[in-house]
Amino acid sequence: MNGKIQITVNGKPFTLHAPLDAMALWERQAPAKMPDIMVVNGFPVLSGERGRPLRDGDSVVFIRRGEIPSETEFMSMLTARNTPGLQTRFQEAVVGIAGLGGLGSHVATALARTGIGCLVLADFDVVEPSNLNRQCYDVADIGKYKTDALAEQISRFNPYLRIVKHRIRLNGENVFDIFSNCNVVVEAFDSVAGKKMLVNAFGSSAFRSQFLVTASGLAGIASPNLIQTRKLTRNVYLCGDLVSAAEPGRGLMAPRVMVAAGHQATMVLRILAGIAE
Amino acid sequence: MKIELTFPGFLRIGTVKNGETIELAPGKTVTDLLDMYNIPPEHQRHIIPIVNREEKRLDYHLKDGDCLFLYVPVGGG
Repeated sequence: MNGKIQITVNGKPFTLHAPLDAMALWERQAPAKMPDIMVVNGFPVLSGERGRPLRDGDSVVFIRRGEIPSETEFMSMLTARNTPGLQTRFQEAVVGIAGLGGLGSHVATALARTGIGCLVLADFDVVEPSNLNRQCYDVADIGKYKTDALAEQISRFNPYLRIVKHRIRLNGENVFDIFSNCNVVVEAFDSVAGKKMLVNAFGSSAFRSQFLVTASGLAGIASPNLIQTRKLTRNVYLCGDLVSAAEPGRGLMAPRVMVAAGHQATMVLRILAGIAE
Repeated sequence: MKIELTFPGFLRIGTVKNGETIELAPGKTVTDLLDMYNIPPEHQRHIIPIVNREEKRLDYHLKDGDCLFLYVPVGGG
């Protein structure tokens, strides 16, 4: 190593030629622009604290309050905890979300935090108070179109994600145009007819090279362990317990909806990673 | 011919157990099978037949050894 130390600074590889502590490193890099907060290996370093000398493999993050890092810096920090080697595939991916209710809003959020490159969000509906028991919106979103509300939410934690919004009621004809560029589409409808329509669409030759992750059976409070991911056809995966329909006496509630959404988002990542069985 | 039949737990297909192999006369379609078990047409239209992991239509002619999954999406999302 010849005394050299390899560290990461705000997600980028950085070589130190001699032992140095984090504050000294910052002073050397940008003396006029001191950070508000420094984080070394996940732990904040208090102001005035020199800290121990940096070691090989250390991770240093400099933060100035209110300043949004550059896209490259931001993405590498956002995805620092993700599985290495997969990020390029995720960043190149385009994922469609059909329906932005309980499933769709949580799937989109999970994928945005993972660093998917582009999301195509499609829904015709507005946020209502009754949605807030399970959908990823807040009171300030009431009355907004779900496409707008979700895009705003996502931009607050991932401002560099590309989002294509379609405020439209999806049907068996327009889905082919709306999702034509998507590697994977997530079916997140409430209605049986919508679910059936999209599964049928992915059985056609138009979507031959694309994948669908659909869901069925996620209402109520039965054990979340009953929710599974199954391969339905060559290009369609199904998440849910297959039986728990939303109906009077068995409502859609946040925990199981989020478990199913977690299954869907994970299946999307597995498809993109090329490890789908 | 022999058909391996699976379906979501809420479906009632006569006395057939989920995953059971049933005997069917050659040339029968999925609709014929559903009629045989008195599944009414208004319920049949919600069914997506998946045969050997391929989506088929209700008028698909089943073949000996086919694995048929009667997928019925349920509401909620």
